[in-house]
Amino acid sequence: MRRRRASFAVPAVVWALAAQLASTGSVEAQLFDRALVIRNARIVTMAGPVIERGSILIKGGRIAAIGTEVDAPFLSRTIDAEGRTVTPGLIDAWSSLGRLNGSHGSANPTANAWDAFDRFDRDSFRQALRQGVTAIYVGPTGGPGITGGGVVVRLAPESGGKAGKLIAEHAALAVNFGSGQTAIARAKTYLGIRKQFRAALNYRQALEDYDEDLKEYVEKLEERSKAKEKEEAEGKKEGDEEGEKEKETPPEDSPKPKPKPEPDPKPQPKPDDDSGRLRGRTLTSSTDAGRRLDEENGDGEGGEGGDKKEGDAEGDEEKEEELTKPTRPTPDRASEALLKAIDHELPLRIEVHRSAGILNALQLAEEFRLDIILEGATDAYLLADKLAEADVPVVLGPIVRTPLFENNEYRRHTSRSAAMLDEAGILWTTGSGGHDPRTSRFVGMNAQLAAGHGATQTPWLATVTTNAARVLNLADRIGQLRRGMDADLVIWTGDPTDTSSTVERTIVGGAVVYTAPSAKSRGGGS
Amino acid sequence: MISQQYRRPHVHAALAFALFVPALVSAQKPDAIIVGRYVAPDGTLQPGAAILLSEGKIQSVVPADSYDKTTNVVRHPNAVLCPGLIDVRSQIGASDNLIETVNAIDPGASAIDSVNWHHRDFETALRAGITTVMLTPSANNLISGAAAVVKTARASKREGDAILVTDGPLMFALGSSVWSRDRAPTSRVGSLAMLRAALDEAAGGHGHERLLAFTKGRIDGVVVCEEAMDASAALRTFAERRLSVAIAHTSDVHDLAEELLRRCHAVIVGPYTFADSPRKLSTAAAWSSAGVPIVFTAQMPEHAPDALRVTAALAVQYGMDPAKARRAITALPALVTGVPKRIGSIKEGMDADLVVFSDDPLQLDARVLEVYIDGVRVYRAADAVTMSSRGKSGGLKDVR
Repeated sequence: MRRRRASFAVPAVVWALAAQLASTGSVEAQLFDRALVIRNARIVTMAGPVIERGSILIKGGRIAAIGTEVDAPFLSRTIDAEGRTVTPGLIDAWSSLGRLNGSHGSANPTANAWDAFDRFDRDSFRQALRQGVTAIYVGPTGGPGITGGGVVVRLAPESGGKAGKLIAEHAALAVNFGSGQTAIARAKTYLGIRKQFRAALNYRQALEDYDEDLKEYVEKLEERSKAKEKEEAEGKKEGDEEGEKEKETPPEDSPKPKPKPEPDPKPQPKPDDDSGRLRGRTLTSSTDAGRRLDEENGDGEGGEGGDKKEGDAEGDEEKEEELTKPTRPTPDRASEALLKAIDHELPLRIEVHRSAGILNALQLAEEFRLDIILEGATDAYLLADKLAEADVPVVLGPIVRTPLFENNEYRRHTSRSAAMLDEAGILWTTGSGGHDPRTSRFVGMNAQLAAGHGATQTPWLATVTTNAARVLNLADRIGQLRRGMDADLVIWTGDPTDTSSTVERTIVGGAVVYTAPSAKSRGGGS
Repeated sequence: MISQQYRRPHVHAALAFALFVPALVSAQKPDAIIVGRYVAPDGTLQPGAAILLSEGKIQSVVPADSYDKTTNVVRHPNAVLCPGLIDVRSQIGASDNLIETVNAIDPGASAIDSVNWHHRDFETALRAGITTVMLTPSANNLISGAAAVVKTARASKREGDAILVTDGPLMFALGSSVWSRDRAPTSRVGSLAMLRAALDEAAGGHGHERLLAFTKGRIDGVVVCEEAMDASAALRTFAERRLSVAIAHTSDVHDLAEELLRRCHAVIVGPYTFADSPRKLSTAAAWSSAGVPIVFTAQMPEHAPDALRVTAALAVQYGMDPAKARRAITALPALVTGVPKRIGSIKEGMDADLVVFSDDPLQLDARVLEVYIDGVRVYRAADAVTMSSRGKSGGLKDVR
């Protein structure tokens, strides 16, 4: 077994290297890692004061140096950005770009948005790059319920006609509170989500119990075999022949203790709905916050009852204390996904609009000690103080909505919403809304509209760069221009606030992935 | 009751303090507004000026430093003064059903008849800097009636004071929205046949007096065209009869420009949305650079009032000249409404309908700080004073 694995590992490494080479930009750039220098630019770093005339050195897909004086290595490419403004790439923290239409389905915590990401939609990506958007968060569709993992994708062309590269494969666990449903259905959805979290905790408890039981079991086995050895030793004194015979045919139910008893390498394959059954059962048995576990929880597996009987029968034969090998709980991928959120490995992103739903979200966060991010959050401004207190970030949808359709969950929509969150000191950003892939490219204008409606504590560019990166927990990689950050940046013909400024070049991961026709004729990039 | 041809009386000081919008309680009637920049009639941004107001009109526009009076002066040293924005295809304030479903040719209908003056849409529009709207009957009939031009707020108590024109341009429409199962026309071909017949009858002296006035060139026409082929058909039909109309049409047909240029006096485009294709978004730029006068519309309340500036900003982002884009939301829509001598420009003798933006109105982060109608302040953002002294709202110059 091991040998075979090792022989497979060698080509895997080669493949990984090859894929790496082929993926980011040109092979040449990878092989020689030719540095790129942007000179004479007005640099809005978002990490400090604006550098009125400075340079950026990009090497290995990252910013190697930034400032008024930057030493360019030998043979580096240069872009003269005289009169141009450089900013971090814009981030759409709530996008549906690349998400295929019609991928709605039932909520499944084990789903991942990347699986439905259309990496061949290069034209759309180009449109986004043309507007300076370099990274997007895409959540899974479906629901209501826990709909699965959301991803952060960098909009870089890849080999083989594909585009898009994962920055974060597990950016968030997405939850849809079913805003479009009736009140009763919404309440049921919320209860269902709570139940799933409780089931996840039960599952963890079951695993822990199993580990303990297994340990106990092994100890007992060891004890027993020692006792047997002792007995045998004593028996040997009495009569050698009998003892040897016994050794040759050891009883089946007491195997020799392995030096390191591993958990059963082949867990009993169980049908998928087993986890559901487990969930259902625990629900009825426990009504409190879910941290407590009923006694029977650990032994609920189908096969165990049978094992027990068998054990009993054998026990009768042996006339010894029964010793049953504990059964490992059926793997429950859904609960495993939820446990990641419980363990703060990823935040819960809850699409919710009504104030009642937002209160539910806060309750859920408190009950299971989750990190939550609100998505959409039409009514968030009504609960701004509560959200500020709980330190919950908010990703707003479109700032301006079509008023005729402002009914149901959007009834209380106001373009001033961002301004009020801003004032309350809440970490917020605005995304294109996750429902129309075409609007993702204008996430910058969306942020400008928020400022136009009074969200002036946060500069609009910070909304869709720094703040978006912070909400996505990627502030150490994107959203600012400083040393060591990923080289995702935009060269604008002028100040990006000015509507007549357009994107001249978009650089993603150190590679120029969009060049405006005007810039091409202008030359540069020598 | 509304007089046929409304004439605005002088705004008396006494009336100025009795206003219908709550924000107007602290209404102010300055003698002059001094701003850092203003939108000139040609659409360009010009540096500092003092706009002198008198009796609800713009008395004169003088350089900021030549005005030395200090009392009753509003100062916005970092703000941009813009003529009140105009939306030429709006149905705000309309109560209930605007869609006439029986008569396909209905020149007698008047949009003004369905206005509810207390509708909140007027205030929503006002806060977005839109001071005048042309209310149009729904474009579901070949001839749907007369548009009306109204202001979104009044400086006085009287309803009539908000009305600029009751008998505005006659509205026509072509396209599938006109066809119906239970009345003629039922097809594109049928539409044009009926339209030609109606126009020719009117030219011969038969039909509704409004239609007669239109065929004699006494009132303007606006034709809402769904598809490019409808626009072409409309242009052909009206040009053959030597009638000039404005075309309301938004599509991605760039090479329609020449035809539009020759045969109509303006093209009403919009609203553009963030979901539109790049080709559609660059149509306004293409037509505009060919010389076609472009007018933008938000089509409230189907779209939010912000759609007007969003449309202009998107057009600029896709190549339209910024000055032309500013004209497309001020001076040129004024031309379509038929009252370009009263609204749409900052120059002597015009109504003092003015918006103080924190920055260039084409920038979407620019805020509406104050709105004046007939020289009276009818809206003021809560933090207008701090904003205008601080300058750019959340602009990159503030970034630290």
